[in-house]
Amino acid sequence: MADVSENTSTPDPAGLDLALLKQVCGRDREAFSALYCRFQPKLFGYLRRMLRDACTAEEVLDDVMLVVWKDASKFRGKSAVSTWVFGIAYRKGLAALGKEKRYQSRLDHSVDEASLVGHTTTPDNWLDVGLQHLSVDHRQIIDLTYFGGFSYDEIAAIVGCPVNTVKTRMFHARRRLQVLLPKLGEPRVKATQGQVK
Amino acid sequence: MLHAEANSLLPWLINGSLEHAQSEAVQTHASSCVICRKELGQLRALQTSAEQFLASQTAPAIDMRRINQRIDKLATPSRLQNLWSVTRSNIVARPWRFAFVAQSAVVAIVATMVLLPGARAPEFRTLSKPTAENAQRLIRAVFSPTLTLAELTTLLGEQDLALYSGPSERGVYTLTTSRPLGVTERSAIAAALQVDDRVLFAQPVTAQ
Ligand SMILES: [Zn+2]
Repeated sequence: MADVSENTSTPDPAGLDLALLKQVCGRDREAFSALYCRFQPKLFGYLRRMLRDACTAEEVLDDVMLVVWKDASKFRGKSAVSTWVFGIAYRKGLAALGKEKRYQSRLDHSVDEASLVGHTTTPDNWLDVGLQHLSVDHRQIIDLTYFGGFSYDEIAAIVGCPVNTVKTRMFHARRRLQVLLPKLGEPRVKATQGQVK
Repeated sequence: MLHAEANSLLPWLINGSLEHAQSEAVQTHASSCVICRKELGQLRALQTSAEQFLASQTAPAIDMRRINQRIDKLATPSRLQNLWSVTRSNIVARPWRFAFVAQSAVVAIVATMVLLPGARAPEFRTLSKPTAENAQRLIRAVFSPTLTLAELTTLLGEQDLALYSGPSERGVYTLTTSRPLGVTERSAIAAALQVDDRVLFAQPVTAQ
């Protein structure tokens, strides 16, 4: 891995990302490899959940990291590097969805809830299956929050919308999940439709 | 903090991304609000499910070759354009190209013998005038200067192709299929060739 710090202390993850990105600005391939390795697992997971296809996710991941390589010097430090990278991934992922026209069905809010009954779920994939029945916009907010661990400010930056829009989308996504998830055999906690106003 | 605001922030309380003061305020509200407490339980289940899902997933092994190749290409802008404007003097000025040109006739014959047993060694023709008959076999291609003869032979063999003629003054090779094929089939072969990064350009020849 590239040497990213002059002192001997280990920088925090965000600091390490930033240090690597600065070196990438100087066309440092080793630093780029280190940055790639740091982001690959999370980016791949995010893109695979979005695109539902591992091969496409791998291709788009490379597209994303190529933009990181090309545009490293355009990073202004207004957000964490991870927020910037995920913003690129969000846009590239949506573009890939659009290209393949697979997003059409997922844009449809009125999914057939009866189709959820009998759907094979486990505690591992329960949420993932439920998310497939949300619109792309709503799914992204849930995904970036629960799988990505991002704050609402960061999500607003990634998705490119106001913070209030993030909160509104989250509100609607939560209400939708409250309807959907009991039909999937929600584990641990029994959510009852309509109880929370 | 009012219920509406606290309730809207519950997902980010659960994922631990709220700032300390905000987190404290939401928790204080939730401790005295039945609705928020109940929903916190539901949201914790969501978070737990997300973490279990993430733990069950694996990313593919990291392979930097693809992206490094793409970065290499960025370092050579408009490489295909450049190739189309390569002049004979450029070819001669570069030793590897000179060697490639000098050996191409030998390669054409050897490759034809190897890849198309029994096939007659083709005559060299100009690239601009394929006949209607042989156009149904031909594909034009430009290869990376780094491609060795052995690699070229392997590359063509994989697509059941042989060298027909070339390189032209512009570095273009003409390849031949083992039997007459339509444009669609030859386009598919050209596309398959171009999957390899060392193939800079490939397209079927159309009869004129
Ligand atoms: Zn409340």
